[in-house]
Amino acid sequence: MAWLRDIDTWFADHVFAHDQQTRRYALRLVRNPEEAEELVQEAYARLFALENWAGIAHPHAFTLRIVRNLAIERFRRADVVRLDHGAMLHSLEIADQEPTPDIVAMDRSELNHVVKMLQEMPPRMREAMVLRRIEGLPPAQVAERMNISVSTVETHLIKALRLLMHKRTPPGETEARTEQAVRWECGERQERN
Amino acid sequence: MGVRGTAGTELRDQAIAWLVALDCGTADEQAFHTWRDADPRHASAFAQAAATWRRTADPRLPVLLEETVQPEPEPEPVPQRWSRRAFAASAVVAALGVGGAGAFLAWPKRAMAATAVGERRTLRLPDGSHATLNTDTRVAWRFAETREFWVERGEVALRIQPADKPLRIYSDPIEAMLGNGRFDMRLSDQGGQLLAMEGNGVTRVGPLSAGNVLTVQGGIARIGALGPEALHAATAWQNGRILFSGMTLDRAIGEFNRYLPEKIVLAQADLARTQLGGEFLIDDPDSFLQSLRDGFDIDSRRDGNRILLFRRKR
Repeated sequence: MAWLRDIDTWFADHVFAHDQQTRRYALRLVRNPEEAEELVQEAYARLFALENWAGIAHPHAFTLRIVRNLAIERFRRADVVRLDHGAMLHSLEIADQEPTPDIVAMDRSELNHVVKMLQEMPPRMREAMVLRRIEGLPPAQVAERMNISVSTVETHLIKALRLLMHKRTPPGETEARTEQAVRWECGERQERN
Repeated sequence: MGVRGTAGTELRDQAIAWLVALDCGTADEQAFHTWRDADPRHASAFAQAAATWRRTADPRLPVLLEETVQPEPEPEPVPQRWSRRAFAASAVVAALGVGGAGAFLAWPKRAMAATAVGERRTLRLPDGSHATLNTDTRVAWRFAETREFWVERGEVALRIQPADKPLRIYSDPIEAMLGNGRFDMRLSDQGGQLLAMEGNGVTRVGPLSAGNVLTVQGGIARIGALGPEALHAATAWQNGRILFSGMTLDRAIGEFNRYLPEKIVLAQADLARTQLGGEFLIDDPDSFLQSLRDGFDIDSRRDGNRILLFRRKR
């Protein structure tokens, strides 16, 4: 797999391993999942523009800080400034002194997600994934075993990976956040009275 | 979704297509490098696809898919309770059935074995290594070009034969590569530990040498050293013994209960802090209860399917 660089492995181990937490954090900073996703993507892209990524002591905390700075930038540029929102941005300090514990293995919830997706995907797609990824057969043998062409195997794998990468909203987050937002708005109104 | 969101989805799809094409050997690698180097967003999208792709080859996946897709295999012969025929090769090779609707899944053939509560058993592995399963344990293994061993629950002691390649051991909390020697892996609800009695191993958090223990608790991994006494206590079960040295009663009971179908419980919570020491036979809980009576004035009585401990009235 010559196409994988050190930064890709570093990213998978130390940043993407915490993808769920990072997205949850972004969702607390901004108003909707699309915007949160944009923040996370922008933060990830900035990591890949760095020269000295290997020297970052706590990559996850570092990523959260980028997300937060991006959110503050957006907040300052916004046409209508929401006071409650600004206060919230400052209240969500990151405990960046705390090192992120070593991830010894893929988070169990991520693993369960992969299992669930594999089980729910169409049978032929699953077959291609299982033969290639779990059994580790070379693509040509997968094609032979399934009696299809390699390019059809590719199509199955592409679709399967699309399903797996389809962004999930962290469970319960949207509702919880909406509730919170309502509460803050109430608080604001009371202060004005 | 806004314009940027759409662009994000497109980028993701491009990255996925590149990755799969590279994996299948159909990509123009030069064109790929040009694409990836053009924009950090491309590099990031590709790295995310690669990280997700990596997850689909996680060594724990076959176990989880088996558990949910296929019925529990029933490979077990009659449990031998505390058979001292150590290292008698039990023939417990239950190749997975892949018949019926699941036939296409064609799992790599793994053999499995399990013990019931109170049972202990030693297995001979295909390369001549030995695995001793403690109470309530489930393991699987596959010895082909590589030596792979899975611990799904419970505790196992491994005596590993020398070979060109290390033995890879997998469990929910811990993964490691082990050389020849003796090791013990124990899983619990909160994590697990891997102990090296002889020989060396490599874990995700560092090397493990004889006398070292890797402990994973709540997702945090640490490697520490064990003194001879602690080492002795941790491995006493292999001889059917259980060792308490200054352990509190609640922890001691927890240890003993691993082996008992009927659990011992404290009727009086304040008994928990009683400290005790001693060596007991795992399959003789009565002598443990007797010692509590004699040494600590703690009496016991049967209550349904539990054994209650309470302070004896003078």
